[in-house]
Amino acid sequence: MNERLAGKVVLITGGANGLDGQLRGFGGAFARTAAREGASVVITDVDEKNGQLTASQIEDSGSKALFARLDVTKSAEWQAAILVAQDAYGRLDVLVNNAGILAAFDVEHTSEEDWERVLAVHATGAFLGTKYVAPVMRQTGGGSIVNISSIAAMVGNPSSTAYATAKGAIRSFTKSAAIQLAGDGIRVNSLHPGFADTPFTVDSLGDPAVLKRRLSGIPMGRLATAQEVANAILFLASVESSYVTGAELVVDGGCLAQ
Amino acid sequence: MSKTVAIQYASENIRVNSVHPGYTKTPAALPLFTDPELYADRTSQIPMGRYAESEEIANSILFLASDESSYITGAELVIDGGHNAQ
Repeated sequence: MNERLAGKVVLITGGANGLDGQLRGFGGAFARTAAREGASVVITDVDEKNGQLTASQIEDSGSKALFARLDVTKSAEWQAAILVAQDAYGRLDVLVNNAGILAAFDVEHTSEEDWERVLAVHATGAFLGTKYVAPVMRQTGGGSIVNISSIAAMVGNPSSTAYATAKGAIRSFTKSAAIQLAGDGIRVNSLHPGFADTPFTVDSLGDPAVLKRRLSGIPMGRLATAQEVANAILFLASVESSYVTGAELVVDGGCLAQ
Repeated sequence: MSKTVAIQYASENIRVNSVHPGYTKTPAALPLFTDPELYADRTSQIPMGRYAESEEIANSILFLASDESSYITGAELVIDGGHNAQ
């Protein structure tokens, strides 16, 4: 079978959760998927230990991968990580803005620090990534940027006010960037996962009562796996979606169709 | 309708999604891309500056038809070169 990202270079933020034999996050699952599909993978994260380990496990399986530390809220770290990618692999074709944090508080219990931190990681992170990666993609005639948003961008989520707001920012940022960069052959889309079984949700969905309540709102009656979200990222990252830009792909088992 | 049916059949593992193509080079849209004036007028409104090839729509259908989209149901996939993002 043809590899769907053959010769491509992929940079993923929040990609450290990709270890063998462990519950994977979207970033880690996509790092594995991209490597399997022939890409050279640049895993970035603030978790250096697991990021390094995920990259070396991918290398051991015969693909190209490296780790670069990246706090997505810092311009200088973005520029350094992109240089690492260019030095190692010479180009950059796919950016997945996946890094995320949660602050599970309603509006009155959200501190200003939490609000600013959550918006910084999601919204500023996607903005800085796009800002610094676009010129690099332009050099080789284009690329694909996949911004991980959430179904929380489309409906209210009072138990995670800052998170929902930040994901909404990613949703609208994606469209502005898509229009601006379309002429350069750079596609920009947002992906909106529903509830998934990942390290990110272990705390909240680990509570059987919460899990039961969530599942009752999902027509498919189960959580997504990280791999199912990674497959959707792969579609948007690959040439198979060559006319898709500024679009929203909802991966939620039917949650929002109701 | 896709959403209604998606909810109804989700528990039977039947997924239902809708695909929303923009301007595409198909026989149905022949006058819209054979007439240079019309084509220039339409493509000026599309961020990607061109129509879709029918294969590009087919690729999206393949994605939704295959197990790659196993958690996607009741969703809308827009394939329009950025037209509706504006």
